Amino acid sequence: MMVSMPADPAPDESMTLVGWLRALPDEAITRLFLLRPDLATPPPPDFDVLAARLEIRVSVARAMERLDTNACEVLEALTILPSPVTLAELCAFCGHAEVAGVVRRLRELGLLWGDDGALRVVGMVVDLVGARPLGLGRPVRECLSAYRHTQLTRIADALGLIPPTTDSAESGTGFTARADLAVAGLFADPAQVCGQLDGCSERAHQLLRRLAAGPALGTTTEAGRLLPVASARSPVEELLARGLLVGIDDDTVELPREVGLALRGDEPAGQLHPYPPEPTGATVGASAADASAALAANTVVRWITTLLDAWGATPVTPLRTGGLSVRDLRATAKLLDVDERTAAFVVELAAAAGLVDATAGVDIQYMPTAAYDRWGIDLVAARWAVLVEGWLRSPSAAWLVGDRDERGRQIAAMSLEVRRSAVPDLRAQVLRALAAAPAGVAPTGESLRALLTWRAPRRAGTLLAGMIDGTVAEAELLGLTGRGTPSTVGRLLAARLDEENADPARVVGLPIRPAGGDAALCTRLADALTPLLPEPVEELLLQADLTAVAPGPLVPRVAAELARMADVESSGAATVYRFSEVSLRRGFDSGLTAEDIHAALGRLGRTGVPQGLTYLIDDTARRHGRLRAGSASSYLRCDDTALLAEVVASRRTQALGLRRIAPTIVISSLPTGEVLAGLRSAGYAPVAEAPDGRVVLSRPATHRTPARPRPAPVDVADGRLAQARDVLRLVRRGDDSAQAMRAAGGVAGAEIGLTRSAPLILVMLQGAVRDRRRVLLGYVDQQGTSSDRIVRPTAVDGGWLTAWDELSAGPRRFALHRVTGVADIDEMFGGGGAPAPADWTTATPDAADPT
Amino acid sequence: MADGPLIVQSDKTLLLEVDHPGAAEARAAIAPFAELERSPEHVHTYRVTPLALWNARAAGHDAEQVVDALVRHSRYAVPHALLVDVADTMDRYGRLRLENDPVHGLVLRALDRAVLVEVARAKKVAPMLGMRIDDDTIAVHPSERGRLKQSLLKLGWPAEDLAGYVDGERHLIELRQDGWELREYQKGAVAGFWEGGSGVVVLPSGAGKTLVGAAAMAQAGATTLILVTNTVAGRQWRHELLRRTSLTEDEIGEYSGERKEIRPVTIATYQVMTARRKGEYLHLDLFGVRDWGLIVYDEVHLLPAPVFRMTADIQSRRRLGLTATLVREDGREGDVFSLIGPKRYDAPWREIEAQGWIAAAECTEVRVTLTDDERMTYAVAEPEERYRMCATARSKRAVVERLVRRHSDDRVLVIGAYLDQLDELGEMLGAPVIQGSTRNRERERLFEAFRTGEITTLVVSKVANVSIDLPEAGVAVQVSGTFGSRQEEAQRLGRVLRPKADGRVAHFYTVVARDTLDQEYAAHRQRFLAEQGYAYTIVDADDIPDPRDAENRSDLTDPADLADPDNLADPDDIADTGGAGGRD
Repeated sequence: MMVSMPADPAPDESMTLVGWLRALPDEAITRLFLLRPDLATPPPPDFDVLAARLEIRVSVARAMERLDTNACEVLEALTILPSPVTLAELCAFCGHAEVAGVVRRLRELGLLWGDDGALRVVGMVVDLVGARPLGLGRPVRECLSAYRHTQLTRIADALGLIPPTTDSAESGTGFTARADLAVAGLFADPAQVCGQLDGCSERAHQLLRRLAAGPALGTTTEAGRLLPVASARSPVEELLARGLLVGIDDDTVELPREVGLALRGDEPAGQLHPYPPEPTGATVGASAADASAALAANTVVRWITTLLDAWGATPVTPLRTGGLSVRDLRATAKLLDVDERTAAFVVELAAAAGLVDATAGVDIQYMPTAAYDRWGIDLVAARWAVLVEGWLRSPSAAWLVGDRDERGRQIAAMSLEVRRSAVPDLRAQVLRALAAAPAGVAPTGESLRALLTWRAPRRAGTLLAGMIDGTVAEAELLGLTGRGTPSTVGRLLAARLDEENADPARVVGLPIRPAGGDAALCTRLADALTPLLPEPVEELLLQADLTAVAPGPLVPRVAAELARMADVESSGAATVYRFSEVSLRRGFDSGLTAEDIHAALGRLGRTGVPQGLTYLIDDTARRHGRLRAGSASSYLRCDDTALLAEVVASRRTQALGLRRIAPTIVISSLPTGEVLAGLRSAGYAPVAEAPDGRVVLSRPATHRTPARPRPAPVDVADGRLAQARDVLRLVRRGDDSAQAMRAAGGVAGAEIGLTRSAPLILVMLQGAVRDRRRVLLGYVDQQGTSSDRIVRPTAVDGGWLTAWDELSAGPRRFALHRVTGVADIDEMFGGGGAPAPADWTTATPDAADPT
Repeated sequence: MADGPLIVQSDKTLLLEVDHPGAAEARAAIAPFAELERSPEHVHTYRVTPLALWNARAAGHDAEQVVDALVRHSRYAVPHALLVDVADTMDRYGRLRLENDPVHGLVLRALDRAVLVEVARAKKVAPMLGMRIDDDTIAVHPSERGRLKQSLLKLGWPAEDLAGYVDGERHLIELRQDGWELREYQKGAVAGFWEGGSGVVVLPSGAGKTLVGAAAMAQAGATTLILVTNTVAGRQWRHELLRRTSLTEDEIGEYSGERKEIRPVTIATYQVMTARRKGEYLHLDLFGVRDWGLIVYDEVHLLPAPVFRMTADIQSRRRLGLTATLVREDGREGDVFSLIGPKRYDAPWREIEAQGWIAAAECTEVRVTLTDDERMTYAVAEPEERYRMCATARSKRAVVERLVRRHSDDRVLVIGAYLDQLDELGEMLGAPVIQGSTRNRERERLFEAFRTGEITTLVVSKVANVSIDLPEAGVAVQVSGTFGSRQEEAQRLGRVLRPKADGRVAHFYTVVARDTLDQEYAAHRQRFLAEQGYAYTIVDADDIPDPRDAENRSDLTDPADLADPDNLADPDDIADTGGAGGRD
């Protein structure tokens, strides 16, 4: 049952991938470009190149990474079936499961081509699926390649395939080739296989059933013991003797594909997984989740405010290598009263939402952006929504902070190492998986992992493992889940992500966050959160120990007012403020008066203002500003107050800006020299001895940096669609001219034409490896000598082609970049030529010529 | 949710709105596992600490109860992380146990093997452990029992001490319940203590802690050492024991600075226990002089540090701690937990409040404006002289005089730190002055005269003020000096200012020079007193009416200024020497 491409010398257009592509309607190709943007960059000149790109390993692997388990299983089934296959055959093979939808999707993705009557998989898919699809082993002929000829003979003997003449020395390798062919021939007939199975013992049957369910490999110490049937003791020995199991190395046996299929009977595809597993976990209840989520939303907004107020007052200097130093991170954790992991998350969150950024220039510092000021006066729900929206598209994996990178250096918050381009996509996947849980259920990590694995079984990587736990923890901190259960807002967000996931124009890559954020999403999130938040309060309980308790979240305006005159002592659902001389002085410095404070407290205090607090305010106010300071550049002093009065009043000294601050003292903001000169010119006789004095209201200095420009707010999806259409136009135009050129060339000469286009060379070599065909290779060696040789490619890998060189009658490696052209000679002249020894690749893999 | 009286903050403080109708119920629910930190008039602050949780666990509460109490009374959603933390913390108590093994003697046994491995590797703990008996058991030398418990607590794995106790020398003690009987909660407290072996019983003052002690002694039926804060308290214990139990005069000894009697029941003061000469504790052997069957620590929250060290060595004797609060000014709550024992009983607060215990003292800060001369003197004084300058300002004299006159029908103590000032005041008020150099006999005579009402005004120095038998007064006027630690201050204040039998309010005046260090110190006091629930007002000296003008008399003591009795911190955690509650 080998997949083999018919070697048609004059292939029908519709039978080749190129032809199929060329015939596709524009919409289908546009969609293909949207789904696999790498195919369109750079725009392929014609359909030959596009077809070649469909075979490129990286591209196919990337496309396959996005397949769910169901699609992967169908694709694997296709690699088992002979090509082409009809939809009905495929359906039957898969146990009459519904496969039409999956086939359509695979075709859209360009992993599969041909209409429903003749489905073919792209060659590279066969390579990527691997030798053992759906838990089945390799075909028996491949399995047997590890056996020596004596072993093969023994099996052939056991199967009753004794060769008619047994000329020992001469027929050695010749018979080996024929023996495995003979065994393969026997196994190709399911009835024969069944006949062999019937002769097995019950224990052997149990073993076979286990291996048939997959995986087809088993580990045993008896793998190398190939005995005659009669002397076999254990089930493994028995099966090995009959060739129903094949020992592929000292301790591994493999169940050949033919045997596995025979054992599976009516369900050749085995156990399939058409439906995703549902996340399970403890039941928490939707209302409990929402209450917790509201609390978390409040908390995270408070953290950001606390952090950025601190950084606004004292900006932080990043490490020279970029990122926040460990000391600063610790200080942040202490400031927020959280652990360092959470602190790193808060810092990254602030950056993701564009509320903090590094200044431009040489002396780089982290400080709040101008956006923070706008953000700070918004309602809690709106502020929270901005954070969530920023987080959603952020490439930062905050949980990596504190871990070591490959070079053993600690990963710093806000550094480039935290940013991973795959993060937004993975985060969206995890959030969608979370929300797939039934309402009110907190899914466990394992069940999430199971669902994610089903949704993308081929996706792997160390990032994903941390991503699930990291995202779940962050979602909890943000209130997208409450006690592990998706909250109302969390579900809203996941619904949005589901929508995006279904939209092909958005499937690939990260949806770029528009500058200023996705306002529509923010509004929807904020609207959804608002009813969950506790009603904000606008009153305080003022107490004689000089504290004020806000028994709930304060309306932002009141909170800001209070922050000017009191310090926060304890925060949470409620806030405890403490009034002290220092806090009140800060209020007075920022322009408040005692009357303002009394009025505010009188208005807010539900139970009146305690006397001690009134006294404290008045005492502090009384002392505030009793001492005055100012700057002056020069002064005049004179014991004669009348003279000073005269100087100040004189019209001729008006330009000196003199100001009398005490009976005997006058100051000026002009330098002493100028004052002296001015006075002298006015007729006075001052001698040299050694600004304006209004009360200057000071506020604590805060720093802001303009946010750096972000990608322009164009509709990303539309842009991509237009791009894909442009590419398609290019391809069609290029393809037409290429075909015309070929037609013209065909008339001119009938020589052997070497294909010289690099992507096509690769595809042809890969095809030759798969189909074991010979090719004519144009090659330039290290000395620059070009030659044409006939080779049998056996592997294309890492920039090298390994092939049997018929010229030197030995294996050899060719650098792909020195291959100048390839022509399929089998196609031109039909099969033939001396076969290479069947097992040379496995027997002497190291003997390859390194040049 | 939505309208509970409790707000759970993320820093593990609990805010209880006392005017809320559900406040009493919520308070009763959280009292077992949260320590009252501040109790001003509207919102009381409790804190949930690991130690408080372990105490609650030892007293028989479980995590579910705690979580339920928080969730049920909370107005807003309770941070989930906090609930998880509560459960985790409570779960740590008792994973390790000290037991008495019939073969190996004292052993540390683990219900959780990993914990045992963890603690055995700790640097502080390893030297105290002996041979490893099996995977879950390690031998411990009996002398390390106390210190091991201390170290394990510091590691966050408090051990449950189930190793048992020596019976001690038998001595029959019976409660004489004639015309009175133990209240239910008192019986509960004794039962809880006895079952737990050793530990602390927390009862608000006025709830009859002495009776709990007496009942525990009767239960033990053994010789008992009672440690009390001072001789006055000691005598009250003695008096109460004679009245309520079968003990006779001969059976109770006093071990104090004056007398050194060792009898079957011996009452010793902390002061004598901590007396030292050349760095050596003189009376350490009191713990070993008899085979005590029970050791009672009165006012555990005031237990001096050296007594802890002595207690570490007598872990095989039953120990009963009595207190109204576990909060210690020095933060050594952990030592109480590991060396005396965990909390074994909580008072059902509501029941005790229903008894109508009312304590009220009104605190008034009288601000005196200094004359310009005084201000100038103060302004140019050397830093070390500044406080003295403002505290002894002559401007204070008139105010003190007015205040004393105003309360001429009450017993008034005038308290100060500077002798010249006190002498002047004494002369001006015609009152005797007691200071450090006053001889003991003279001092006792004056105190006695004050108690009987023969003298109504007494001027005492800070030194005298520290003396243990300062008599009660209805009014105290502090003219200078601070009291030391806040706890000490409140303690003394509370003792001086006991509410009168006729319900009159006690007064505490501090005369403070405006805009000086004096006022700064007063601000600290103000905060502390307000946190303790005392009503606190500030008046200007000029507003103190002339006492001879009787019309204005009631201005200062407007009853509306008094805090609701419910809000008051329990006055007896401030002082407990007098016979309140069950002692009456």
